[in-house]
Amino acid sequence: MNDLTPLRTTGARPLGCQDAPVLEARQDRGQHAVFCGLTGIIWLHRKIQDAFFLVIGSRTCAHLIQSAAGVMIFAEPRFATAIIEERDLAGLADAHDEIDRVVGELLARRPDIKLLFLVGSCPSEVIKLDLGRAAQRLDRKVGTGVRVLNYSGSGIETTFTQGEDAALAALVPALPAEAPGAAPSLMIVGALADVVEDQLIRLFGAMGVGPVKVLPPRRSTELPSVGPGTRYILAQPFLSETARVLETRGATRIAAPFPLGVEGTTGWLKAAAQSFGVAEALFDSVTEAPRARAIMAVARHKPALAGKSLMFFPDSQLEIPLARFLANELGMRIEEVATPYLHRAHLAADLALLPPGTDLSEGPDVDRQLDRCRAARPDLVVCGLGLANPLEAEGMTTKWSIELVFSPIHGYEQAGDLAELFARPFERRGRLTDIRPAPRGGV
Amino acid sequence: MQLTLWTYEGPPHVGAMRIATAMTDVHYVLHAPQGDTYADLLFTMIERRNRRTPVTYTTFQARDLGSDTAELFQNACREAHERFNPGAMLVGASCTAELLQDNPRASPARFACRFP
Repeated sequence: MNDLTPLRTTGARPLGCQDAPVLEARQDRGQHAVFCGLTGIIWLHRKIQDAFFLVIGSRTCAHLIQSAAGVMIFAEPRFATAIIEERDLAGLADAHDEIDRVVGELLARRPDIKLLFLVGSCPSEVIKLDLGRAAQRLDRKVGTGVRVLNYSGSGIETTFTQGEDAALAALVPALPAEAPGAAPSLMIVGALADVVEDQLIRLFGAMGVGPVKVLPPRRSTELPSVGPGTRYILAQPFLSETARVLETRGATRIAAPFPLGVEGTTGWLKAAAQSFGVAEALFDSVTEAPRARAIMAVARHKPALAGKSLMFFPDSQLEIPLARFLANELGMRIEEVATPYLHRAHLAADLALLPPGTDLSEGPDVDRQLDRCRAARPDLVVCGLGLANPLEAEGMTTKWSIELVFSPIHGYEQAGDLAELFARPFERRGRLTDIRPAPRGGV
Repeated sequence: MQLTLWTYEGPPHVGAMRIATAMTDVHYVLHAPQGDTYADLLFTMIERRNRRTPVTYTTFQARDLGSDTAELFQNACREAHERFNPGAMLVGASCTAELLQDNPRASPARFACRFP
């Protein structure tokens, strides 16, 4: 276990998919069965424990949040919708006065809120409601001391995880500046489960890499500083705007594959370690034990998955690093990887590690991809909740892509769980075919 | 504006979806922004239906707003008819699409002669 497989980098490897063409580009029209960015509120409000997300939107937005979050009301949630009504649209009420009134009501009721996001939606975008101006006016208003920021989670502007990108990008201007001449620091960017974040920070600590900061922080009072000494590493592949604004504040990006699976996690940790001059021997000794555990945990699921084909429908932008993990560490055959957006620069390392010739598609038309799926009949289809049961009824085995967003899957200790998420549908289908006749094909 | 901390009340187009899913050979074309397709899961997951909801959404985005979204809606109607060949089609708009005033109700009249 001592021989660390050398990290294959874009430059060293002529193969891979970094220049691969895409089957369908998002410029193509057609229906996109994806969530809007408002959905990100569901995990962001859990991550930042003193933040509140107020959607300025329609009844549809409120319904989405309610049904997508599946909220049972045991406690007051830290999100809400200010529903735009007829009188707002007819100009009978001044929208900004209304926002001030609603925010006042909310803050009076919830003194625990320290950071309030005004979240734009499709209707607020279409009627051109200036939430930036509203946030500026309400920010740290005398008597409240509450930080007020805004971003858009509208489906017009954002797809699913891009809502997190927009929220984090809105936080960046609020980050304190690091002291002039500050020593280099590492910033992990992207919301991770607290337990995963702690594991990664411990590994960096053992290597002597640090100080380590995280964005988003768990409390708004712990905003990390940023400046030319900050080297940031993305933990999630969907943070293009956040990366751009961090760089306007002087931070530099550490390029790396994403920390999914053994290969991705090793590459990710190693990129940061190399940036901080960690000796190879120290890196090996720190990562050896967790890496060995991860290799064993992943190997347990290989018999169920090796040789099986799979197709990804677009969902979270995690598809490419996940396909890389499933192909390289579990021996799966990738039929097609669809992603809502393909950020070639941030995904360069993962694309280079994908088996050459993998079919990629960016924001494909759902009906046309379903045609390809029915023709290819992959052993496993990773798709959204609108497609999963219908495809199961057609005799296909499915994995709900949303689980990959809500489960802790990053890092060594989660690599086995990540593999298991893909193995479980096969086990389920195996059990079910024992108790019922084989499903009929075609609906 | 109305502060809503929780609500189980769906928008009316979800009611129209309920009608379309309850009938056979009916297809609903909904003018709606990207993201409104979340409503599919009310039927495929919560009701555990074994087929896709018979709904086609226009799923328009920012780049579409600069062009003719009414045309986008008409194309979606035509493509849905070609693909699903339903006995009857319903058309509608979600909250945001209504603000665009593309008037989906005017479209079927324009298309009726072309649909056998």
